[in-house]
Amino acid sequence: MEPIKVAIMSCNHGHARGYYGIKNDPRFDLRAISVAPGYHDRIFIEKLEGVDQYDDDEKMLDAHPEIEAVIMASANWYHLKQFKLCFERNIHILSMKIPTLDLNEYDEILSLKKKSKSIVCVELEMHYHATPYRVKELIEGGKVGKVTSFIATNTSHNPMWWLPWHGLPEESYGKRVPIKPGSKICRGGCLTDHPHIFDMLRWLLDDEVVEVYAETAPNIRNSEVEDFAFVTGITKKGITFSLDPSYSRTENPAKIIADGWEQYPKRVEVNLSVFGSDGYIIGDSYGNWINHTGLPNHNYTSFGCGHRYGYGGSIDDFADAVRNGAPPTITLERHRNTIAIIDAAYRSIYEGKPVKL
Amino acid sequence: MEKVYTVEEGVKKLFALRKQVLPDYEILQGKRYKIIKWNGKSAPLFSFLEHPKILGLTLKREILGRPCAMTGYSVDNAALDALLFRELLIAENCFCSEVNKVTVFRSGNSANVTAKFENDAALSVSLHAAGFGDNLFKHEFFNTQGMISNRSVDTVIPQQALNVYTASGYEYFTDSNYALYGLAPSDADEAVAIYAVITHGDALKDSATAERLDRVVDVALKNVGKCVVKGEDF
Repeated sequence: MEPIKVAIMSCNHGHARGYYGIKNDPRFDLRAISVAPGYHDRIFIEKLEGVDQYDDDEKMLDAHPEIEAVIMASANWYHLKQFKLCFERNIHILSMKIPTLDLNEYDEILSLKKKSKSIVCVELEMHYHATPYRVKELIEGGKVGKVTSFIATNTSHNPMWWLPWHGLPEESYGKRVPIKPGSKICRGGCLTDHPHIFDMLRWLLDDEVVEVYAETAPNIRNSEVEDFAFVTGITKKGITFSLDPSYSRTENPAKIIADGWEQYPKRVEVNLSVFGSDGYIIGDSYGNWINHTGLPNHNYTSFGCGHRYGYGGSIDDFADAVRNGAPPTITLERHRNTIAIIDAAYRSIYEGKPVKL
Repeated sequence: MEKVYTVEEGVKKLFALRKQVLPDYEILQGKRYKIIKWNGKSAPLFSFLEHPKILGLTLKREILGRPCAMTGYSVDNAALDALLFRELLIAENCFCSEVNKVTVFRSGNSANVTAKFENDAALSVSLHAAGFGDNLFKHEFFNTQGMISNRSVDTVIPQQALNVYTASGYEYFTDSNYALYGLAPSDADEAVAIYAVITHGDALKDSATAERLDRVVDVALKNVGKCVVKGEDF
């Protein structure tokens, strides 16, 4: 396979460094990266020594017309601009999990994509975990009978100390919108950061949401974006659900992610349960963890572990889509309804009543 | 996603994912571990070292300081000597040091073991060759700058990823590897081990380790209740 000439844009998304390995991946030819202003010393770019670096996306793409694909690893507010730049040049895109939270912008992106030859994959890593596949198989095999209820949590730390844009409503959500009338807390926190459980609800149940009700709670951090969101509702099939994407796991504030940043019990949890007429499943997708009390501060904490030599997830899918024409696991088109649920949850918190989709 | 049903299918998939050529290979059942033969080479297959919760014990060396001790238990549907071999190798891997003194007290299919290593670290591990069931274990690994454990503070047996309750009873699933979805945990470990040995392994070094630890286990189990010492007994 001819290596895909690729760039990484901005490099200030929390998942960006997970893609730095493409520098040594024979399927890719990493030609350049752009770095978001203010993030040079936070994002481990020393690992990409020798790769052309730019402070401006347009200058990077102009200087490297050979680039045929990008990993869009930027703050959410920057995505529309980057989509436009790429679509104009028919550059393929691996987008992080939130293309935008503004549905009008989302539709604009879809419209621009139709006019281009770009392939767009959306990174939603739960599609590369074995546990949800087992849940889907059990549901579709009738193990729990008729599904009546679905619960999922994607609770985590808040990465705002390391990546400040997560704590800035304008950069995380795209604009400053109070979470409730008169509130100093704005949209752009946990609901913005954790679309996975909304996606899993649709994917595992093969269903769509028709109504949501959501609440928030006082923040545990001194932050401008919401730490808590509790989302309930019902699907077309009549399945009720509760989703918790809260930033309810705490962290030691650290400018750069390193040992000592995590706090007990875990930095992230993804639990999911399915209840049905004939049985129920209670699950923990992020259960394979090791606990320790190591340096620098001897906090009892934990880290996830897994097999070596696993599937590469989104990057494998992206390579397959670009070079072999394989359909992306998550398309921009499919992902829109997930963003619409999050949008409805925000509106419900603001209005204090259930919102229909 | 393509489901995997056998170790062989899993190995094929791991090679295919990386567009690597899988050589012909053969797996032989040894006394305490399986042996893989390929391309005229032979190596022991230490599948248990690929278990994420065993591998994980070795991943924070840089912030844990020097190894001091490890305690734990291991129960499995395996022979007692195979369990002893396994736990000594896990400890050697964690301590980065070779065993030099072993004392075994044995009663039937159970054994209580103390071992010392060349860096002075100590191991205390209880073994039970159950003859049925899954491999259960807990390790607590103490170092000069902290401890690391593969079970959380209030847990002594594995927590299952998925717990399924129906009128006909309780089932659980422990899927942890997307690429090898469908394989039982020990089979997934074996598929990863085969891939690792063929693509990254050091057959000579692993064979020497196996030969050395086989001697330790033989001598220790022939001398229960006595200290057996490197240079004197093995």
